Amino acid sequence: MTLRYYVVRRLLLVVPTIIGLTLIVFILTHVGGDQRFLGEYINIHSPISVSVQEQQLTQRFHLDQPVIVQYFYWLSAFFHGDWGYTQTPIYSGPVSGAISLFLPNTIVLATLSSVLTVIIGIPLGVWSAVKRNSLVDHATRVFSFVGYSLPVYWLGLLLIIAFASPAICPCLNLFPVSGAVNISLTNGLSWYQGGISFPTHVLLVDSLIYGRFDIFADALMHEVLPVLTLTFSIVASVIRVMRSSMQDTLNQEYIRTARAKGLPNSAVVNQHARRNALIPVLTLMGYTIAGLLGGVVLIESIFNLPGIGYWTTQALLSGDIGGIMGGTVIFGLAFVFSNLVVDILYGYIDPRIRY
Amino acid sequence: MARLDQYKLTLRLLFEDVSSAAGLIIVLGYVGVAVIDAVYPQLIGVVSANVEIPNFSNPVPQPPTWPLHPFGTTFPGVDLYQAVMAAIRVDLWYSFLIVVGGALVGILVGVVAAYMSGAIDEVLMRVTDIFLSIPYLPFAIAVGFVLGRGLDELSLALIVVWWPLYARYARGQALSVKENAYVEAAKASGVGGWGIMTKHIVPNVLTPIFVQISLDLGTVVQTFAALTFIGFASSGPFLPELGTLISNGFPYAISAPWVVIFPGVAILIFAVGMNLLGDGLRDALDPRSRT
Amino acid sequence: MIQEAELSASAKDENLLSVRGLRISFVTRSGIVQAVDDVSFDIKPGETLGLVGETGCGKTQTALAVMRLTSETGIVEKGEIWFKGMNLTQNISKEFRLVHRRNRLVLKRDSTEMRRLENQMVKIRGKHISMVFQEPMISLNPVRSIGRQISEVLLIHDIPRLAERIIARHDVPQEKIDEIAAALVGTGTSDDRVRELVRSYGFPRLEEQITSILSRQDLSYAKRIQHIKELKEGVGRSSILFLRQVSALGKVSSTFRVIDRLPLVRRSFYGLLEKEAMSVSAELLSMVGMSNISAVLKQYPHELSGGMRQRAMIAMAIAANPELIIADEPTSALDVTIQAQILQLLGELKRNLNTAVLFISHDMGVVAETCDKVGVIYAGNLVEIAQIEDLFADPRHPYTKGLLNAIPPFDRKVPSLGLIPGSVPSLTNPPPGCRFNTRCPFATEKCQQAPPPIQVKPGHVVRCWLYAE
Repeated sequence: MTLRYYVVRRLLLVVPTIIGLTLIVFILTHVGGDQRFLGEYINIHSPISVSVQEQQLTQRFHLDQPVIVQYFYWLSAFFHGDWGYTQTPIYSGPVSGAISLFLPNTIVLATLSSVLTVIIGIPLGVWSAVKRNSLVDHATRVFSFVGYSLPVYWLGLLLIIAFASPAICPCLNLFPVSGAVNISLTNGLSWYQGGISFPTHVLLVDSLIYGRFDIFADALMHEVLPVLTLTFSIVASVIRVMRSSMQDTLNQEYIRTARAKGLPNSAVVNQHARRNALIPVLTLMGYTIAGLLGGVVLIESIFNLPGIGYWTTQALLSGDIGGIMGGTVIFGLAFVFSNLVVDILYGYIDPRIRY
Repeated sequence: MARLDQYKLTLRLLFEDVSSAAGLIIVLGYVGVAVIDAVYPQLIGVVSANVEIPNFSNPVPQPPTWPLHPFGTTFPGVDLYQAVMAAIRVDLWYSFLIVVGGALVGILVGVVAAYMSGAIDEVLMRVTDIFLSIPYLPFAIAVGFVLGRGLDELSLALIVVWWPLYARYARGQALSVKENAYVEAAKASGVGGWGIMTKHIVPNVLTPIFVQISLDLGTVVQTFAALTFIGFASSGPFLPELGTLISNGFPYAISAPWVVIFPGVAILIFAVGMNLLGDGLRDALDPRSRT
Repeated sequence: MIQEAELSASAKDENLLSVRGLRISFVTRSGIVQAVDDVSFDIKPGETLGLVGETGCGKTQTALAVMRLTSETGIVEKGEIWFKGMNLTQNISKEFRLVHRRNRLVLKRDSTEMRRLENQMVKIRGKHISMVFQEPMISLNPVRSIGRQISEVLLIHDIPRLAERIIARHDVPQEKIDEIAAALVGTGTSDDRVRELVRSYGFPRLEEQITSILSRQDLSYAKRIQHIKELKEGVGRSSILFLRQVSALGKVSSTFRVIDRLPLVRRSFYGLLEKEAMSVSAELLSMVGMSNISAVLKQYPHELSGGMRQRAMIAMAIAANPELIIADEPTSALDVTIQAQILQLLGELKRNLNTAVLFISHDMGVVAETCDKVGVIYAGNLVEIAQIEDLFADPRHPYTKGLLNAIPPFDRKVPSLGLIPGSVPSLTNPPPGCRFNTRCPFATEKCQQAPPPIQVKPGHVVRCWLYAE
């Protein structure tokens, strides 16, 4: 099977997964019966009486139809971009609006952390396995062990304390510990309204577009602590897996063959061992990404970064069902697609899997 | 080698390695605290964990003083030491429940799927995959929200989120065990389906699952505390639970770091101990080190 | 006595490989395992030496030690290995130390010494000594194509050859090629005559390209001639400069190595060499009798059959024209019919390329077919070594006799299979003296001491007190 065929087959697999995902979310929203579902949408302060509201809502959500039909209506609404409504302290309105507002920030956080994780984690894992029982190896193992055992939000708190507490050291007041940007810098800007920047909604990009390097630098500084915290937590498991996988790979027979061909050790490690060792790492990438997405939720809450995780948490606290489900769908979709990318990479690297 | 000898060898290997022995000691320490707190709290100084201290209802956190408040106090006037000790029991209990519950469901699903194969296997695995397509933290939030926002509901939600991992794992193990000759032999001598599954497949699946459980306990404790931290359980601040303690202290963190440090350290040390133990178990059970 | 403790100068000169008093030990939980003890042998250029013995007797470890591929827990405790007059084991005792830790012995290595020895071996492996392993499925990298794995050997060791081939194709005028092609028609495909002919035209590197085209079985004769005519191929000016420099220097200069990193540059210079290496790989695969070569080059190990994989491994081993090939049970993982084919192939290659072979096997029959000289190993000791006919006709050591006895004759019935009673002793605590004394029917008290090598006939040495005078 060629790579192309494998990719197509894998893409097709996304469809039932998304259907399953939406099905679960749908079931979750309707657990507890119609009354409960309706209860979330009924506005007691509205001039319209409750029973009339109930009628309207029943019609709108087709609650009088069999469950399967309801699901189809829900699904079609989903594909038309109507994902329900959300009412949280930080945002009220259609869920799709909330997503376009919050998603870019989450993407920035997740992307920066992932890139940093890969850049640090993979070489460290390789190095640690090649130089077994050396100082580097022991240091790396301790480092990754701590990162693995540390509650990620607690680390964030520690960093906040360290960098903001006057008790510790005022001189360390380098990195801001809250929010995405210094408000004073963004007062009165035409392209920054209501917490959203235009046109890309990503402040880091937009500030560059408009040439405001000071805003760019400030936003970047605001990302430093969150990214570092999240990376520290995630890179730990990457290093672990990379190291053990590298060790296993170096014990394989074909590594001995490579040496027998006269390859110097650096070439053996770089050209043969590393690529093969990456395969199990990719297999476990799914769990790593799950951890990343979970960590995003926590980090955003602590550092007050207005992203999807923050919104979901607020929705939880204020009992907003639209927000919760919207967040779940987004996280699910993100997960599905990142797994897709990982699987395709896997098929590219390991030709055995294409069968 | 008889089963008992194998267990003894495992224990011996565990103790030989310093780090896993340390892990075991840490974990036993925590379990000890939890048990004592349930049975005879006064022994470790837990008098009244979460009631405002009579005659000392200062809601602002006070720094640690010896011997009255060794960990200091936290909002709203609770002695932190007692709170942490009581919280350990709560966290350990729920985490244990979650992991064991998830493992039981997962093993059941996994072994049945592997043994039955065919259509049942496909269906069960598709369901498992669907559950696995949502990252665990947001999923737990969603399920927990729907079920209600108490600690018990949260545990149930986490069980729902956790079992697919075990199902996958157990199925893989069961599949390789199924190929073993002794299963064929059992079938040939007339042992029925359930008999084979319980007597032959499950025991051999249990050992690696056991390692996975011990590794997972560390993660589950963190996840549980993380969810309570973001405010899951809403039964007020008088809840002895490590995550809740941290979130209570969060507003005061900058000026009174101890309110956040001590509960966090409690989680951290447990996670470290559990991970060391889990790693040690995995290495000890690795056939290469047993020769 | 033929094998002295000290290697004489003449022995170093006339032998390709000389091993003296080799002891290989492994440090384990339960003690030090002496896998190989006091093994000595020589291999002359072009000679095939077989090492035969039961599984676990140490023959593979001996071979690995020659290549310095012993695993991390193993050390060459004593002994010397000389290759082409070079001491591969110089100061090897400085490399490691045994220390006591918690009433166990632990191995500690000196990294500078390790690096020195390793650097020395890297120049030899693949180019002067190459190895064919037992199980090709796990010995080939599963995620790299066959073509790339063979090309790799060439790109490490033989770059000037690749460069010169391209240069030859570039330099030769089209008329000359046509002349050669015309002259070839009718000369037939005998290699020597073809070579003479081509050589007379004065383009050396063209020879191998022409002869390989001529030997292709998948094309008609006319097509082959056509291909020869199409050999002429010009390359860009900067490329040809690069290639000439490579040929003159004997390697890729460091400047180019640096520029090489830039993606576009890599394409044009190094890419040429890679393509050429692929062509040579195709020629090598044809030499080892592979079918469907163009497909195989792009395939991965798991897409080939066992016999094809082994052929690929052999192609990798002969790629850089080594003087010695070590074959570690190359046919043990294959079916008998394929086994026969591979052995035949090895025989042909041996004759054509005149390489020496160290052939390791547990199968006396296989050894009988392929080797000039045979050494019998038991529990890490080399107990007897002789010319092949001599060993079969006149085995001296009791173990050898037992081995040969155990092969059931196919021309008559025997009442029972000839067994050697007892089992191989533990190598952690080997019996003192001759390691066979626990099972030998002729054992005496004297056998508690290790017997010295005794020459019973020219070229036939036994280690057994029975033959001492």
